[in-house]
Amino acid sequence: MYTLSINGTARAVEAVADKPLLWVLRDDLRLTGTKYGCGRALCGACTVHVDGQPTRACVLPAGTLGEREVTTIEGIGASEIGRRVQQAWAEMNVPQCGYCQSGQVMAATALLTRIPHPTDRDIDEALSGNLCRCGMYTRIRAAIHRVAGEL
Amino acid sequence: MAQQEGWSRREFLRVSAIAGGGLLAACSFQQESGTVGTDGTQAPPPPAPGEAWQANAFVRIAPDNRITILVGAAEIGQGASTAVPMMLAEELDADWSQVSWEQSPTARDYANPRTFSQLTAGSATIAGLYMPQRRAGAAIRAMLVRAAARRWGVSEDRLRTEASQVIDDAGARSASYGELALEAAQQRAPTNPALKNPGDFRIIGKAKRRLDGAQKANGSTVFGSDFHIPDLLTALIARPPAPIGRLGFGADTPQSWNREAAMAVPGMVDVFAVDAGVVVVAQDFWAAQQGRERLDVQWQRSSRPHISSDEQRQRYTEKLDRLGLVLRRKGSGALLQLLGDGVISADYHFPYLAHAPMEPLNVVIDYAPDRCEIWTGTQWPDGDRRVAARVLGLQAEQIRFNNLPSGGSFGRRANSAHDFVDEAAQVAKVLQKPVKVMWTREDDIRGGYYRPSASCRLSATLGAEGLPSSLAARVVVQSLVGNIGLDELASFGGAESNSAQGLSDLPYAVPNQLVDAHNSYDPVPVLWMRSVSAGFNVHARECFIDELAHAAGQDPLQYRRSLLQAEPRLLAVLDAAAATAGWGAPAPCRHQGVAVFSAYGSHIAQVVEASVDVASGLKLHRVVSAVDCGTAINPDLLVAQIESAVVFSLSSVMFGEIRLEDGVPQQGNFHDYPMLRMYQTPRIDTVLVNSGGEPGGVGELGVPAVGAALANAIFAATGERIRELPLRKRLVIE
Repeated sequence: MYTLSINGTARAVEAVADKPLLWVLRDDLRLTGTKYGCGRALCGACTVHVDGQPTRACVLPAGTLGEREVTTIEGIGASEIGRRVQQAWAEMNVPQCGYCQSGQVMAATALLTRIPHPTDRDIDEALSGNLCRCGMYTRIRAAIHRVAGEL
Repeated sequence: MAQQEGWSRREFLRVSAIAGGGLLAACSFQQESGTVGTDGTQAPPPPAPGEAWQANAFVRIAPDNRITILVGAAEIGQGASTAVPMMLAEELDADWSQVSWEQSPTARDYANPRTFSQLTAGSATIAGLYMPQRRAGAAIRAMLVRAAARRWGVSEDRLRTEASQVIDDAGARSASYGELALEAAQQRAPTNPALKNPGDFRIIGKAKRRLDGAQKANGSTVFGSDFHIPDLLTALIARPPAPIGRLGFGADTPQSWNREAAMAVPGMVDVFAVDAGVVVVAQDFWAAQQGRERLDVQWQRSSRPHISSDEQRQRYTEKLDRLGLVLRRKGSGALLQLLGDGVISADYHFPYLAHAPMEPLNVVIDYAPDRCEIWTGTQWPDGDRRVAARVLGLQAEQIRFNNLPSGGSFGRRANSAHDFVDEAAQVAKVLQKPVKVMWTREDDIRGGYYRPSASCRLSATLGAEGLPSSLAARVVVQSLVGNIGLDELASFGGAESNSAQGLSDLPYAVPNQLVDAHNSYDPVPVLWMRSVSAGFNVHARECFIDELAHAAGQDPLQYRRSLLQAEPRLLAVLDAAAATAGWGAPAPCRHQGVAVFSAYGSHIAQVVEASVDVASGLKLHRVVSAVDCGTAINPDLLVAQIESAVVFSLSSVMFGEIRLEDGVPQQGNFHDYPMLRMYQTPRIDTVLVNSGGEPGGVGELGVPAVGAALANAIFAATGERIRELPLRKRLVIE
């Protein structure tokens, strides 16, 4: 039994300490916006923020988090940048199947928070860990630039 | 069908369904579509004041003017949930800002006339539903107009509709569809409603936002893997390491396993065997995965050959020397010429590919004797349901089957073997508790049902002006038709035309043609993947045409133009792509390649610009696609489909390969089955040069040619032909 801080709320969790955050979120807390894609930090579908840093929840033992602040796709819209990213995603028809997009939105929001006006190279570096099998990379890039233009 | 006065609501609905599709004369609306009880025959109640009007199988109009359009096609990312409502909303003259979508029930009303079922495949959704959706919208619009005319005591002729309002300009009044719905429900549905002139379209042809876009951006879309019901358990299956059979038919069988070790994991619930393998059931995914890792299953080897990719290649290469089943013969002399001197010939080889949708397969199933409900993302809900019913000993109508959005599919969720639902039903039959059967990424990549490996030999002789006087194509591939249990039919040849897609329908003017195929009976289960056989055949064909152009000393674009004079639409996209890409004038050190493809009533030409550096290897700079699909429903989603196909295809062509050794796939996750990432993705430009008329399909259109265009660009850069995929076997790709 331990407590996690998820989207600003303390959540009690009854799970083994080495259970990855991804499965604590999905199976224990029913926050299913964070996705399972590979289980090995290869695809980024499970990206959440831990103290603001984009992090792969599928390989992060939840029991090691302690007081650290976890933000998921369910909570990222509360931030100005997260809200704008989600809005640009919808307006520019970025999602197709949409399964990877929670992770893409989390990665893009972290990038724009760190670098409000990223170059294409910054985008390559920040987003290349997130696979999109529907191949919407050029739209993701364009949407990030659009949000940057508003900041 | 004649209409009569005084039909009951039940019968009216039946008529509406016919008006909406013209394909459902034998089945009634209520039979399967209503709230499904155990008998599956609940009719929707008649509308009461304040209730939404279920106008026909496709539309609900609420008193507040909100319109819900039910979509029978699967939403697998392609945008059916937006484009299908657009077609209906157009003729309904709906206020698009008040339109939402809902996945339809699994019922015959929602069959696509192109597939005779709810199978969403073959790029047939738009082409198949274009007229039925428009007729359904027009019929309801006519009923609303009639209702307004009666209410106001005026002629229907003086009324017009716009943005979900019936408007009487002369009387300076209007009524919303929501206000009129109750009265409209009393009107007869016209069987043959007038349709708009395409010039009057207000919704079709406009770039609209996806109706599911905001939910997919904020994580609230419920995919199959997200679906939850009380007391839901999670199951994983330890499947045979070699995918060489189908669910207990020919595969290796589990001989022993360590149940105690698995059950020692906290949260484990049960371990048992079914035809599909050894099932571990747990309270959640993590426990199930830990339990499965401790199972240590020992497999009894089946008598089927456990093939290896190298050995298979050798067999296929040998078959390339022998005449196969002739699928097309045009003109004469192709065979003789091809045995003679001056024959240009090239062999191309393609590996097995995994679809690898981002969301691994999963099925939630709640079964107790005589009752079953299933939730999954699938391209084929009615087919899946039939198989679940067979496994569970139920009638199909006794199963309530809910199709949820799929996190990608590309053909994997359109399996004629219905493997993932079949095995989930096997699990549920034993367990008889609500369970989510999940696949890990490794299960997905190693689980078979691959795009088949293939070898193609193309041969030609050149005649006047260097143009081909004869062309012969031979393909060696496992039969996709055979995979759905039609081996014997396949041997008659006709059915196997599928194997020669892209070769037997050659768009180029070549007087003498011969196409033959060998169907290899390897035991690996294969399945169509986005663009099916064109994925390898058109790649080979377009590379080979490039080789012929080079042999003739001609520009590959001009060479194609010479051969496509009888194909005006293809010629138009070719010219548009060349103009947009600046054909013949790439930036310094960059090289271009071109290729074309026609199918599903649509045409595409693609130009790839790439460079090859000795040290850093291949780099993609730009892909230009020009498309003619007749009419675009939502041009921005059409462009997105082409962008998607480009990345999907380049991933396969550059990286994709499942290698088998002793029957066992050697790849298992995205590190050894990589796909294109952001930093590798080039600029992608797509231009539409639509020629009007009925819409063709575009979901697969962008796949087959772009890889060939890349291979041709690499030849332009290096002078070397790469005839074996993936490219990274021969090229450095960072």
